[in-house]
Amino acid sequence: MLLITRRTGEAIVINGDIEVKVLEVKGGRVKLGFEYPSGSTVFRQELFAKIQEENKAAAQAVPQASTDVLKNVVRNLHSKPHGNTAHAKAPTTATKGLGDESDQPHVQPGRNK
Amino acid sequence: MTEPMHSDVSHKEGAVRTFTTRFGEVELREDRLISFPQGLFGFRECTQFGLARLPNVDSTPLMLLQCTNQPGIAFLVADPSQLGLELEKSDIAEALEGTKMPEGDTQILTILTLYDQGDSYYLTANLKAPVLVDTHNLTGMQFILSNKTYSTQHKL
Repeated sequence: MLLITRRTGEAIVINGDIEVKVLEVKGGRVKLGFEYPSGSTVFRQELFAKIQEENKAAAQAVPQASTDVLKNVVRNLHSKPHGNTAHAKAPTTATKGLGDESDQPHVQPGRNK
Repeated sequence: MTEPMHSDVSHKEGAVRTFTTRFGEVELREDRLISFPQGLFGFRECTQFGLARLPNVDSTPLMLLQCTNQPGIAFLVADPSQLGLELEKSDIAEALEGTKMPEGDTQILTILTLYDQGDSYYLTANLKAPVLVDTHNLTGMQFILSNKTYSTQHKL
Protein backbone atom coordinates (compact mmCIF):
# COMPACT_ATOMS: atom_id res chain seq x y z
CA MET A 1 0.00 0.00 0.00
CA LEU A 2 1.35 3.41 -0.94
CA LEU A 3 1.30 5.83 2.00
CA ILE A 4 0.99 9.56 1.45
CA THR A 5 0.28 12.21 4.05
CA ARG A 6 -1.80 15.18 2.97
CA ARG A 7 -3.00 18.37 4.62
CA THR A 8 -6.45 19.79 4.16
CA GLY A 9 -6.69 21.22 0.68
CA GLU A 10 -4.01 18.95 -0.78
CA ALA A 11 -4.75 16.28 -3.36
CA ILE A 12 -3.49 13.13 -5.08
CA VAL A 13 -3.70 12.22 -8.77
CA ILE A 14 -4.14 8.61 -9.88
CA ASN A 15 -3.53 7.40 -13.47
CA GLY A 16 -3.26 11.02 -14.54
CA ASP A 17 -7.03 11.53 -14.51
CA ILE A 18 -8.43 10.65 -11.09
CA GLU A 19 -8.05 13.28 -8.38
CA VAL A 20 -8.62 12.74 -4.67
CA LYS A 21 -8.59 15.87 -2.53
CA VAL A 22 -8.67 16.20 1.24
CA LEU A 23 -11.41 18.76 1.91
CA GLU A 24 -11.77 18.67 5.65
CA VAL A 25 -10.39 16.79 8.62
CA LYS A 26 -12.52 16.94 11.74
CA GLY A 27 -13.18 14.66 14.67
CA GLY A 28 -11.36 11.65 13.26
CA ARG A 29 -13.25 11.88 9.97
CA VAL A 30 -11.82 12.93 6.64
CA LYS A 31 -13.97 14.50 3.95
CA LEU A 32 -12.62 13.58 0.53
CA GLY A 33 -13.52 15.03 -2.86
CA PHE A 34 -13.19 13.02 -6.06
CA GLU A 35 -12.92 13.93 -9.69
CA TYR A 36 -12.78 11.11 -12.19
CA PRO A 37 -13.59 10.31 -15.80
CA SER A 38 -17.04 8.96 -16.60
CA GLY A 39 -17.04 5.19 -16.65
CA SER A 40 -15.03 5.05 -13.45
CA THR A 41 -16.72 3.81 -10.31
CA VAL A 42 -16.04 4.92 -6.77
CA PHE A 43 -17.31 2.95 -3.79
CA ARG A 44 -16.82 2.81 -0.07
CA GLN A 45 -14.54 -0.17 0.47
CA GLU A 46 -16.93 -1.92 2.84
CA LEU A 47 -19.71 -1.89 0.25
CA PHE A 48 -17.38 -3.24 -2.39
CA ALA A 49 -16.20 -5.97 -0.02
CA LYS A 50 -19.79 -6.88 0.76
CA ILE A 51 -20.65 -7.35 -2.90
CA GLN A 52 -17.57 -9.48 -3.49
CA GLU A 53 -18.40 -11.57 -0.45
CA GLU A 54 -21.94 -12.18 -1.61
CA ASN A 55 -20.76 -13.15 -5.10
CA LYS A 56 -18.37 -15.65 -3.52
CA ALA A 57 -21.08 -17.10 -1.31
CA ALA A 58 -23.33 -17.45 -4.34
CA ALA A 59 -20.63 -19.24 -6.36
CA GLN A 60 -19.71 -21.52 -3.45
CA ALA A 61 -23.33 -22.54 -2.90
CA VAL A 62 -23.82 -23.78 -6.45
CA PRO A 63 -21.64 -26.91 -6.23
CA GLN A 64 -23.44 -27.83 -3.02
CA ALA A 65 -26.87 -27.63 -4.55
CA SER A 66 -28.59 -30.28 -6.60
CA THR A 67 -31.60 -30.52 -8.85
CA ASP A 68 -33.70 -31.86 -5.96
CA VAL A 69 -32.71 -28.99 -3.69
CA LEU A 70 -33.57 -26.48 -6.38
CA LYS A 71 -36.88 -28.17 -7.14
CA ASN A 72 -37.82 -27.85 -3.47
CA VAL A 73 -36.72 -24.25 -3.31
CA VAL A 74 -38.62 -23.41 -6.50
CA ARG A 75 -41.72 -25.15 -5.12
CA ASN A 76 -41.48 -23.04 -1.96
CA LEU A 77 -41.10 -19.89 -4.04
CA HIS A 78 -44.28 -20.61 -5.93
CA SER A 79 -46.25 -21.49 -2.85
CA LYS A 80 -45.51 -18.26 -1.05
CA PRO A 81 -48.29 -15.69 -0.80
CA HIS A 82 -47.64 -12.70 -3.04
CA GLY A 83 -46.90 -10.41 -0.11
CA ASN A 84 -43.64 -12.15 0.62
CA THR A 85 -42.06 -11.20 -2.63
CA ALA A 86 -42.29 -7.59 -1.63
CA HIS A 87 -41.18 -4.66 -3.67
CA ALA A 88 -37.43 -4.43 -3.46
CA LYS A 89 -37.65 -1.07 -1.74
CA ALA A 90 -39.51 -2.37 1.28
CA PRO A 91 -37.96 -5.63 2.35
CA THR A 92 -40.03 -7.45 4.92
CA THR A 93 -37.51 -10.23 5.14
CA ALA A 94 -35.05 -11.60 7.60
CA THR A 95 -32.19 -9.80 5.90
CA LYS A 96 -31.07 -6.52 7.25
CA GLY A 97 -31.19 -4.54 4.02
CA LEU A 98 -28.05 -2.67 4.90
CA GLY A 99 -27.32 0.47 2.98
CA ASP A 100 -23.74 1.31 2.29
CA GLU A 101 -23.67 4.06 4.92
CA SER A 102 -24.02 1.87 7.95
CA ASP A 103 -22.03 -1.14 6.98
CA GLN A 104 -21.19 -3.53 9.74
CA PRO A 105 -19.16 -6.69 9.41
CA HIS A 106 -21.64 -9.17 8.08
CA VAL A 107 -23.16 -11.89 10.23
CA GLN A 108 -24.74 -14.64 8.16
CA PRO A 109 -27.50 -16.58 9.87
CA GLY A 110 -27.87 -20.21 8.93
CA ARG A 111 -25.12 -20.03 6.37
CA ASN A 112 -23.90 -23.28 4.83
CA LYS A 113 -20.27 -23.62 5.99
CA MET B 1 -34.94 -29.74 -21.41
CA THR B 2 -32.07 -27.38 -21.96
CA GLU B 3 -32.82 -24.22 -23.85
CA PRO B 4 -30.34 -21.71 -25.16
CA MET B 5 -30.76 -18.22 -23.77
CA HIS B 6 -32.56 -17.04 -26.88
CA SER B 7 -35.14 -19.69 -27.38
CA ASP B 8 -36.49 -18.11 -30.53
CA VAL B 9 -33.77 -19.99 -32.39
CA SER B 10 -34.31 -23.71 -31.99
CA HIS B 11 -31.86 -25.07 -34.51
CA LYS B 12 -28.19 -25.37 -33.64
CA GLU B 13 -25.75 -23.26 -35.56
CA GLY B 14 -22.05 -23.45 -35.02
CA ALA B 15 -20.31 -25.10 -32.14
CA VAL B 16 -22.07 -26.02 -28.94
CA ARG B 17 -20.23 -26.53 -25.67
CA THR B 18 -21.62 -29.01 -23.21
CA PHE B 19 -21.05 -28.48 -19.50
CA THR B 20 -21.80 -31.18 -17.00
CA THR B 21 -23.14 -29.37 -13.96
CA ARG B 22 -24.67 -30.46 -10.67
CA PHE B 23 -28.03 -29.92 -12.28
CA GLY B 24 -27.44 -31.98 -15.37
CA GLU B 25 -25.96 -31.29 -18.77
CA VAL B 26 -26.09 -27.74 -20.02
CA GLU B 27 -25.46 -26.84 -23.64
CA LEU B 28 -24.12 -23.43 -24.52
CA ARG B 29 -23.87 -22.15 -28.06
CA GLU B 30 -20.50 -20.62 -28.85
CA ASP B 31 -22.12 -17.79 -30.75
CA ARG B 32 -24.30 -16.96 -27.74
CA LEU B 33 -21.57 -16.66 -25.15
CA ILE B 34 -21.44 -13.37 -23.28
CA SER B 35 -18.27 -11.42 -22.76
CA PHE B 36 -17.71 -9.87 -19.31
CA PRO B 37 -14.54 -7.79 -19.76
CA GLN B 38 -14.42 -6.93 -16.06
CA GLY B 39 -15.74 -10.26 -14.86
CA LEU B 40 -17.88 -10.06 -11.73
CA PHE B 41 -16.84 -8.45 -8.44
CA GLY B 42 -14.47 -10.89 -6.78
CA PHE B 43 -14.28 -12.88 -10.04
CA ARG B 44 -12.32 -10.66 -12.38
CA GLU B 45 -10.90 -13.67 -14.19
CA CYS B 46 -14.35 -14.92 -15.26
CA THR B 47 -14.60 -13.04 -18.51
CA GLN B 48 -16.87 -15.28 -20.53
CA PHE B 49 -20.22 -16.75 -19.56
CA GLY B 50 -23.10 -18.69 -21.02
CA LEU B 51 -26.65 -18.33 -19.79
CA ALA B 52 -28.91 -21.35 -19.75
CA ARG B 53 -32.19 -22.52 -18.24
CA LEU B 54 -31.72 -25.13 -15.55
CA PRO B 55 -32.10 -28.55 -17.03
CA ASN B 56 -34.59 -30.76 -15.22
CA VAL B 57 -36.21 -27.94 -13.25
CA ASP B 58 -39.25 -26.79 -15.15
CA SER B 59 -41.27 -23.61 -15.00
CA THR B 60 -38.83 -21.59 -13.04
CA PRO B 61 -37.23 -18.25 -13.75
CA LEU B 62 -33.95 -19.57 -12.30
CA MET B 63 -31.10 -19.78 -14.76
CA LEU B 64 -27.48 -20.77 -14.67
CA LEU B 65 -24.81 -18.22 -15.53
CA GLN B 66 -21.95 -20.58 -16.31
CA CYS B 67 -18.42 -19.23 -16.58
CA THR B 68 -16.91 -20.79 -19.68
CA ASN B 69 -13.29 -19.80 -19.22
CA GLN B 70 -13.29 -20.93 -15.55
CA PRO B 71 -15.69 -23.87 -15.72
CA GLY B 72 -15.71 -24.45 -11.97
CA ILE B 73 -17.55 -21.16 -11.46
CA ALA B 74 -21.27 -20.78 -12.05
CA PHE B 75 -24.04 -18.64 -10.58
CA LEU B 76 -27.77 -19.08 -10.13
CA VAL B 77 -29.44 -16.01 -11.57
CA ALA B 78 -32.92 -14.77 -12.43
CA ASP B 79 -34.66 -11.75 -13.85
CA PRO B 80 -35.86 -10.08 -10.63
CA SER B 81 -39.18 -9.08 -12.17
CA GLN B 82 -39.92 -12.78 -12.67
CA LEU B 83 -39.37 -13.28 -8.95
CA GLY B 84 -41.90 -10.56 -8.13
CA LEU B 85 -39.15 -8.06 -7.32
CA GLU B 86 -39.20 -4.62 -8.89
CA LEU B 87 -36.21 -2.36 -9.28
CA GLU B 88 -37.15 1.31 -9.41
CA LYS B 89 -37.15 2.79 -12.91
CA SER B 90 -34.63 5.39 -11.82
CA ASP B 91 -32.29 2.66 -10.57
CA ILE B 92 -32.59 0.74 -13.82
CA ALA B 93 -31.81 3.98 -15.63
CA GLU B 94 -28.76 4.48 -13.40
CA ALA B 95 -27.53 0.98 -14.23
CA LEU B 96 -28.07 1.42 -17.97
CA GLU B 97 -26.25 4.73 -17.86
CA GLY B 98 -23.40 3.34 -15.77
CA THR B 99 -22.88 0.29 -17.98
CA LYS B 100 -23.61 2.20 -21.18
CA MET B 101 -26.05 -0.45 -22.31
CA PRO B 102 -29.06 0.17 -24.52
CA GLU B 103 -32.43 0.08 -22.79
CA GLY B 104 -34.19 -2.08 -25.35
CA ASP B 105 -31.65 -4.89 -25.58
CA THR B 106 -30.53 -5.14 -21.98
CA GLN B 107 -31.48 -7.99 -19.72
CA ILE B 108 -31.26 -7.42 -15.98
CA LEU B 109 -30.38 -10.36 -13.77
CA THR B 110 -29.85 -10.78 -10.07
CA ILE B 111 -27.40 -13.28 -8.61
CA LEU B 112 -29.02 -15.70 -6.19
CA THR B 113 -27.36 -17.29 -3.19
CA LEU B 114 -28.60 -20.57 -1.81
CA TYR B 115 -28.49 -20.69 1.99
CA ASP B 116 -28.82 -23.75 4.20
CA GLN B 117 -31.00 -23.23 7.24
CA GLY B 118 -30.65 -26.73 8.63
CA ASP B 119 -33.69 -28.61 7.45
CA SER B 120 -34.24 -26.67 4.26
CA TYR B 121 -32.71 -24.20 1.86
CA TYR B 122 -33.74 -20.73 0.84
CA LEU B 123 -32.62 -18.30 -1.80
CA THR B 124 -31.58 -14.69 -1.47
CA ALA B 125 -31.20 -12.22 -4.32
CA ASN B 126 -28.47 -9.59 -4.57
CA LEU B 127 -30.59 -6.64 -5.63
CA LYS B 128 -27.88 -4.14 -4.73
CA ALA B 129 -25.54 -5.33 -7.49
CA PRO B 130 -27.47 -6.64 -10.48
CA VAL B 131 -25.86 -8.09 -13.59
CA LEU B 132 -26.71 -6.41 -16.87
CA VAL B 133 -26.45 -8.24 -20.19
CA ASP B 134 -26.52 -6.49 -23.54
CA THR B 135 -28.27 -9.24 -25.47
CA HIS B 136 -27.45 -7.71 -28.84
CA ASN B 137 -23.71 -7.18 -28.41
CA LEU B 138 -23.42 -10.10 -25.97
CA THR B 139 -21.54 -8.22 -23.27
CA GLY B 140 -22.20 -8.22 -19.55
CA MET B 141 -21.30 -6.29 -16.44
CA GLN B 142 -22.21 -6.22 -12.77
CA PHE B 143 -23.30 -2.82 -11.48
CA ILE B 144 -23.62 -1.58 -7.90
CA LEU B 145 -26.73 0.58 -7.49
CA SER B 146 -26.39 3.73 -5.43
CA ASN B 147 -29.89 3.35 -3.92
CA LYS B 148 -29.29 2.44 -0.28
CA THR B 149 -32.54 0.55 0.21
CA TYR B 150 -31.58 -2.56 -1.74
CA SER B 151 -30.19 -5.60 0.01
CA THR B 152 -27.41 -7.88 -1.13
CA GLN B 153 -29.40 -10.67 0.51
CA HIS B 154 -33.08 -10.10 -0.23
CA LYS B 155 -34.74 -13.27 0.98
CA LEU B 156 -37.12 -14.85 -1.51
